[in-house]
Parts: sequence; structure tokens; C-alpha cells
Amino acid sequence: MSALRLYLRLIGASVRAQMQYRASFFIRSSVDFLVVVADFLPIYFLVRKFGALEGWSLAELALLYGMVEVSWATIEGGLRGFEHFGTYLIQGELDRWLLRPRSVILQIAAHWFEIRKLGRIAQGALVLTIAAIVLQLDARSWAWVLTGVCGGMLFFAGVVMLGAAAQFWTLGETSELQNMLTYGGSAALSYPVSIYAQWFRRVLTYGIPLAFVNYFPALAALHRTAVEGWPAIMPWLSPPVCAAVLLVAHAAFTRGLRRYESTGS
Amino acid sequence: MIEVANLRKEYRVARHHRGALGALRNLVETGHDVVRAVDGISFTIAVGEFVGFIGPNGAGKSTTVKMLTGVLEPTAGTVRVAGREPRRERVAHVAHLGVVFGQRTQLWWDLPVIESFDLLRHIYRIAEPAYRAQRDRLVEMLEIGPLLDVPVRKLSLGQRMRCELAASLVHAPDILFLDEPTIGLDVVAKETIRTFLAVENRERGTTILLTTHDLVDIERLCPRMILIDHGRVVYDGSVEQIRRSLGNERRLRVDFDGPAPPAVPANVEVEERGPERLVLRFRRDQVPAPQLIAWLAERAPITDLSLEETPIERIVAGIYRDGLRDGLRDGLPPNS
Repeated sequence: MSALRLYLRLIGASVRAQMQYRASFFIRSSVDFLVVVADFLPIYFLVRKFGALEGWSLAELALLYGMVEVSWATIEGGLRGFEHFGTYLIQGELDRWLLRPRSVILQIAAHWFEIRKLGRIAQGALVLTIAAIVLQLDARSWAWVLTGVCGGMLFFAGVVMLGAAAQFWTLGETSELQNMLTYGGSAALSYPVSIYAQWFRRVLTYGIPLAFVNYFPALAALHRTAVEGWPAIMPWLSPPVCAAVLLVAHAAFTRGLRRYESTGS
Repeated sequence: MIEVANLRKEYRVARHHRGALGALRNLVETGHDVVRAVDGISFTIAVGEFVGFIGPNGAGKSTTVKMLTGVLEPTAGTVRVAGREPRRERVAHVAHLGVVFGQRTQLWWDLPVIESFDLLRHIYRIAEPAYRAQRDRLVEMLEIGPLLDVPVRKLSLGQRMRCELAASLVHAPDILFLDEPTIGLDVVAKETIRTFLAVENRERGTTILLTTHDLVDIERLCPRMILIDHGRVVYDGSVEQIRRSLGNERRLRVDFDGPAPPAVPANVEVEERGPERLVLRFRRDQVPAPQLIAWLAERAPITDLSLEETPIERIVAGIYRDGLRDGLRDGLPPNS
């Protein structure tokens, strides 16, 4: 509880600091707004042209898109410190965190809140809600949607933490790899996994388990698990798989930190 | 309070080859050199001591301090601070520790100073009344009242450093590590900080370890100094003692009413000669100053004179350059 309070306090400080540069804040927020529109536009045109995508209606695709958008934007905004970790490491900021009697992970997470991502979270939530209303989702389906969103947050938190952990060994050389997983991953997940080739579907399911973020929970919400030819257990595996990603990332980060303490570089 | 025994720290540094071909070799070869940054350091610091920690760049000072703060793990040897092992018990250890890095800020750059203090209160979980009392005391002593509502980025270096000190002491730590707290400051700002540190040490009994290149800091503040070089302690003792043993050289400047004497006694060296002035250098153990002055006064009427001790900087520069060999010759124990 006290950790959450401290997180919110530090996040608040980060927001107040960014508000000092108001003009820049408004420009960046509107740019992000446009990016969101530009993101969803291709899906819209695609479906308008073909009517549906592998049996997915526009509303169903919007649901899929909204889910991953909300979870990724929340993590990207709320845990921004992990994405910048390589820079902090080189600048020696980590020493400062180690010198304070609180969890290092907590301090990194709370170091920076990207307020302009709030717009993106709102956009995603809007798309998601409209889609859910159009699809007339019942309570059970809503629960699956929320499970997917929360699982996605755990998953993406794991990815950014893993990216930060890698910095201990590579010092800033791995950020592109991380971008591939986060930006690339969230873009790939805007479409149902079923439209991809067999091998890529396997990668998304068993390799980098991105499919568990929104695809499987969405299948459960839309009663399509069997239609798409998956075992009924898949949606249920979503929360444990996402949680496992975060746990692995946490272990990797702890190891990296121990390495830092023994090498100092 | 601080016990360090046979402390050692080795780094593995990737071997680098030069040139275009070398860059290629760097990719495939993973050769490592072991660099021993700290090579068997031992010392003990008691509660309430004010110790100067000096040494040339790359001597191992900051590596040692990092091991004392728990940021770095020693390769070998032991560190105990207030009975704790810094690395094992990081959270408990740093809760009683204040640290100032002169070159790096711990304040929130874009926010008013007071917000940093408030955030630190929550980070260190300080109760409101204790926090307010300590903060008000620091604000008054460091005269930073008018700065509290100014964003940190708008402060001058001197103002910022006073705020850094206050920030490092908000949680009333028992131990304070200072790394170059006066670097780049003007004379007045340095003086303010020195006065504050002296009071903090004397009145609250805070144990202070001060790393600095400004030896005036050491002379003014630290009864004891630890000098390290090449990862080893080369001197640990009082500033007074090192001055007595190594600061043998004195300088005498004399103004005469009329032409200066053409010759000087044995063992006295003329550093500068003007028509009516002499600047002389001699060793204290060879030439007693009163005798020299009397000798000069017999030859020409003296209008003015001044006697200077060797500046501590010269002594330390000598040790950095030549090691302690000269000191040993003068009867200074190597590790007293």
C-alpha cells in the first residue's frame, strides 16, 4: 500500500514537472492523438473494402484493437522509466535509486509518467467501449475483455522490464529489440492472429506469447474459440502466461541489478 | 561506525584493439583485463569523526565510497557500517545514510526545491513533525528559505549545492558521504558550506566522510585524512602530522629599506630577488626562522616580512608525484 502511494506521489511529481513545459505538452498530445487515428484507419478501410477479415467484423476487430491499445498505452505511459532505463544507467541515475531505502523497481517505474499517453489510453478505451456496445457484450464477455486488458498490462510490463534488464548487459544496444516487441507486437495484435501464416501464428502463441494478450481473451468474449479451431483452455491460460512473462522479467532484472552491483558498469 | 578491512575491488575490462581491424577484433575476441581499483584498503572511522578522503583521480576513492554506500559489491574484504553489511542490508543501511555527489543532483530538476524535500520525506517515510523540524532547521542554517519555491534548474550552482546538502540530510542520517561538495563554487559559497558542515558534525555528531580535491576543505574541516593512491592507503592520520613531517619547507619574504643583502646563509635558497626584496626558501629543520631573520636584519634594515608554511596542496601534490618515500625519510610512519 505504501509502495502504491509512493508510486502515485512520484508520478505526480513527474506530471507536474512536465506541465512546466506546457506548449510542448499540448503539441505532443495532439501528435499522439493523430497517431492513434492513423493507426486504426487502415483496419477500417480494409474491412470496408472486404466486408470482414477472416470472418471478423469491424466491431470485433475494433474490440481486439481497443484491448491491446489500452493495455500497451497504460504501460507505456505509466512505466516509462523502464523504457528510458538504458540512459539512466549510463548517467548514473541508478546509483541514486540504490541510495534510497525503497525498491529500485518501484523508483524506476515511478520515475516518469508520459502524460500524453493518457490521450491514447482514452482513445483505446473509447474504441473498445463502442465496439462492446455494438457487439452487445454480456457481463461474462466483458469480464473476458477486462481479463485481456489486465493480462496485457502484465505482459507489456514484463516486456519493458525485460528490455530494461537487458540494458545491464548491453548498455543501450537493445532498445530496438524491445521496440519490436512492444510497438511491433501491439501493431501485430491489432489484427486477429488467425489472419497470419501458420508459422507466425505459432511464434505469437508459443514463442513470444503475444496471442495471449488480447487474441485468446477476445475469442472467449466473442465465443469464437472453437470457431477459430483452438482448444477451449486457451483463453484461461491467458492470465497465467502474462503473469509468467512479468515474473521472468522480474527475475532477469534482479539478476541484472546484482550484476551491476558487482561490476559497477 | 565504519569498519573496512582488506577491501578489494577488481573490474574486468574488455580488452580493446585500436584501428579499423582492431574494431573487428573487438567484436570476436572477448579478452578481459583485470583492473584492481581498490587493492586492500583498511581503516576504521569512529562515530562523530570528520574524515577527509583524498587521492588523485583514479586512485580508487569513488569505488571505495560506492562499496561503503552499498552500491558496489566488494571483490574481497569486509565493510561494516553501523554493524551492517551495506550490500546485504541495503534498505536498512541507506536509511541512515546521506550522500551528496557534487556533480550530480538528487533534486527534481523541474520542480520547486520544497517539492523535492517533500518527496524525500515520503521516500524515507519520515513522520510529519520530525520532518518539519529537521527541514526548518536546515532551511535556516543553509539560508535557503528564499529558494524553496524556485525550480531547481533555475538555481545557481552555489544555491543548488546548499539545497543538495539539505536534501541529503532531510532524514537526519547518522553518516554523511560527500563527494566534491564544493567543486566549482566561489569562495563565499564554499565558506558557507564548510561552516555548515562543521556545525553539523560538531552539534549533531554526524559522522562525515568528505572526498575532495580542494585541500582547503580538508584543512578547515578534517582533523584526520585518509590519502589513497593506486587503490591503497598511503597515509592515514592527522593533517597536522603530515604537515609537520612533510611540510618542512618554509618561505620567507623580506622587504628591506635599501638594497637587499647580496648573499644568504647556507641551506637557504633564493627563490626571487628584487632590488629591495628577497624571497627565500629553506627547511624548517635546517634553518630556524628567528636566526635567519636576525641574520638578515644585521645586514639591512627590514621594513616588512612574512613567513609561509608549505601549502598542504604542495605536500599532497608531492605525495601524488613521488609517493611517500620523502615522508619516510622524514620519519613518518607509512601507515599511522
